[in-house]
Amino acid sequence: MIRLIRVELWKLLCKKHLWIILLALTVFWCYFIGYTQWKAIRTCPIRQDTKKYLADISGPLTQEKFENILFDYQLIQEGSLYTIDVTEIPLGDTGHFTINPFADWILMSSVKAHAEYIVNESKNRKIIIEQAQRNIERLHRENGSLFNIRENEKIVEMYQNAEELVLTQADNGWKFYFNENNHTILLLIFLLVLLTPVFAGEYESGAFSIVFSSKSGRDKTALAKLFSACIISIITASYFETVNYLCFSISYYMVNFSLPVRNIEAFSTSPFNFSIGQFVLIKYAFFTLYSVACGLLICFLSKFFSKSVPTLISGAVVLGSSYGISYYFTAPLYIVGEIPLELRNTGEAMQKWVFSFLVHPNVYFNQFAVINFANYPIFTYWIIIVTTVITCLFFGSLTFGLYTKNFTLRMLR
Amino acid sequence: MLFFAELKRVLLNKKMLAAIFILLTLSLLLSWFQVDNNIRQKYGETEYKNYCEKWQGALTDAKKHEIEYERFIIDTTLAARQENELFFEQGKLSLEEYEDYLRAYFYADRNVAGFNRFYEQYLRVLNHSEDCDSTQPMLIYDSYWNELFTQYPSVLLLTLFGFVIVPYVTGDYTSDMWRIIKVAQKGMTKLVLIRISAVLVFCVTVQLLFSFTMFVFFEKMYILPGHGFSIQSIEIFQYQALSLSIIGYYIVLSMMRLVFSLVLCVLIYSLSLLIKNLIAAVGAVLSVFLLPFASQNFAPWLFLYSPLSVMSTIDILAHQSTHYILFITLIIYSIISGLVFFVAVRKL
Repeated sequence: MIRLIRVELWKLLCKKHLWIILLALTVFWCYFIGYTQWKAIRTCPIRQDTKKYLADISGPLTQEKFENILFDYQLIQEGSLYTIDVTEIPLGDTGHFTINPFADWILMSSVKAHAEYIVNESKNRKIIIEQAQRNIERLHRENGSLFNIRENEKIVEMYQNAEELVLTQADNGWKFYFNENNHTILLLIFLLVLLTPVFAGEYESGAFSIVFSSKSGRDKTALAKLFSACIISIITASYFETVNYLCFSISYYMVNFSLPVRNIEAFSTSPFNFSIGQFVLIKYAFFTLYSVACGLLICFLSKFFSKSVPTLISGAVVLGSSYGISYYFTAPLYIVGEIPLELRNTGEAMQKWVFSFLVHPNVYFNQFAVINFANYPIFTYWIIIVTTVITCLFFGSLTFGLYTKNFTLRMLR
Repeated sequence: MLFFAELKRVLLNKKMLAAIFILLTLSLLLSWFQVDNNIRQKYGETEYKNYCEKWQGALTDAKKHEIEYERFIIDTTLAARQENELFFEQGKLSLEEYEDYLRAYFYADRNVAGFNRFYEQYLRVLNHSEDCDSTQPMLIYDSYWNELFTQYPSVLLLTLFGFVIVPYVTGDYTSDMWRIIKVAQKGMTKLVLIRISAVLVFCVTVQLLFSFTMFVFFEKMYILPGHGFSIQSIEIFQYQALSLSIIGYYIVLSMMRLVFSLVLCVLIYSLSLLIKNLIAAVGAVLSVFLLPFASQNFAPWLFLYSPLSVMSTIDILAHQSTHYILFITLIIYSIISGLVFFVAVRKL
């Protein structure tokens, strides 16, 4: 079996054009995401100065520190304090610079906004806990539903354990890294090119009739092909996620793995006490699971059509549209515009069932979202994980069944 | 003879006609959904439409007077709310007078969003009232014109072109047919030229069909007034220098889109011919089309001049008020396509 998997991997990977495409995709991403950002940050004085200022005051936000920040901000407002000499900021995305007389004010505004966020986050958390405790009392008094009581108890339990946030370098690196998931397009292109010939290639070259009657038999060959597809999907997902992470981390110098993920504003109402490092691992895991589901879907299409062209077309349509749906519901407003209310509700339902939402793990961890499962509150990320695993098993077993029964769409003609 | 045989392979067969029909239906459905969504989100759309229809056409002194009077009425009515409330409480205003005022207030409050949008258009027309007749903007209800010009199914069209042209070109290499063709009387080079002609005819047919159907769809479903008004009457083209009517500009824009599509089809054809492997060629074409989209947040200029944007041309026109940038983009794409084609033919 292991030998068969090795042979399948060898067959899939030993193609010159694959490596050329992989190299091209990597170079493209490193240049346009890594290098351009790195250049923009290194040549933008205000970002450097913000970093320097924050480095001096970083650490837990004490009352004294907060008052100092407000005092500095007040002085800047009055025009009697200048913390930086450089008065240039980038003009749009053109890379040109312009004189900006408000550079100091921008710096202090961002520092003040970050400090205020920390203060407000702590207040909001207290409000959420108090509200949940009041709800529990009311539900007990009025004999409310068991699920609602457990839900509120869960809220209290999770929000009470939250760690205090610290003032740190607000360089946006983590924010962009967690929000930007367009490298999924690279993954989908590469998987489509890589896995289309898994079954279709065999039929097109006529090798199927020999393989089918060989000693290894149908079962083992099918399993070997599916396992190798899974292995390749995992490796490819890890590779692209690593490239993407490196592009961001080198540009923004992203460290601070031990900070709570709530330090990033997108997670301001999150009940989870993950550190940033843990969330990076979750992102990796979700991306890999998504990649395996896509890989098995392509394998199914490859077996079902047993021809490269329909596999490529249907693969591009199915994967493209599922990614498009998740992109539409998670993209910022300035790209997709205001989403109508009825569609917003559809989007929220889709988050639980469409596996392409896995590439946006922040939608599951940025707030307290649970569903009622036998009167127990279950977090929505478990739903999508289970859905995706079932999807993988469904497509895997369907492909296995089609292969061993030698069923293709060609037979229907 | 050979040309028609190739045309039959690429266009005149049941599968292809069905695919084109499905894509056309899909693009109309998407446009319908998108337009309805966009219009619904605009403030005071009904009132804006009423104002536009009331004063549609050239800006005359009488219209100017009426519009300014409406501005004055709305502004003063809204501004007098607190004062009138106070007067009513103090008894300086009778109940009838206060009710009359409230009626006027509700009218102003209901219409202010739509009127503000109309007033912007009025100011735009007023600023260009000294222009020559052919470029002078008119007052017009332009919401659906804006949508018609911006809605263009470039993703669907490029997907169609990619998945039709690549297998069509690489099919000979996948089936090893090229060995026979190479020694045939017509030869490989002649066949390539005939095939590229068939591909271009396919592209022209599909493009014209899409452009025409979109226009007819908008004309029947929505309101497109003032076909003969100057293009500057429409908000998104207010800085245009060309002296064309709206319908004339739509035809010109369709032609520009057609030319870009032809160049992109040549690029897809040449890439496929150069790579020869079906899967690798699909990978390359998808990468060329989708990577600029993937990096749009970090390299917006790349997305602006990418095949997806170039196909609809409207993104470039929205950013640049002149047409020269379009021609430079066209020339660059033509050079790239020509070079790839030249190399591919040399390597046959």
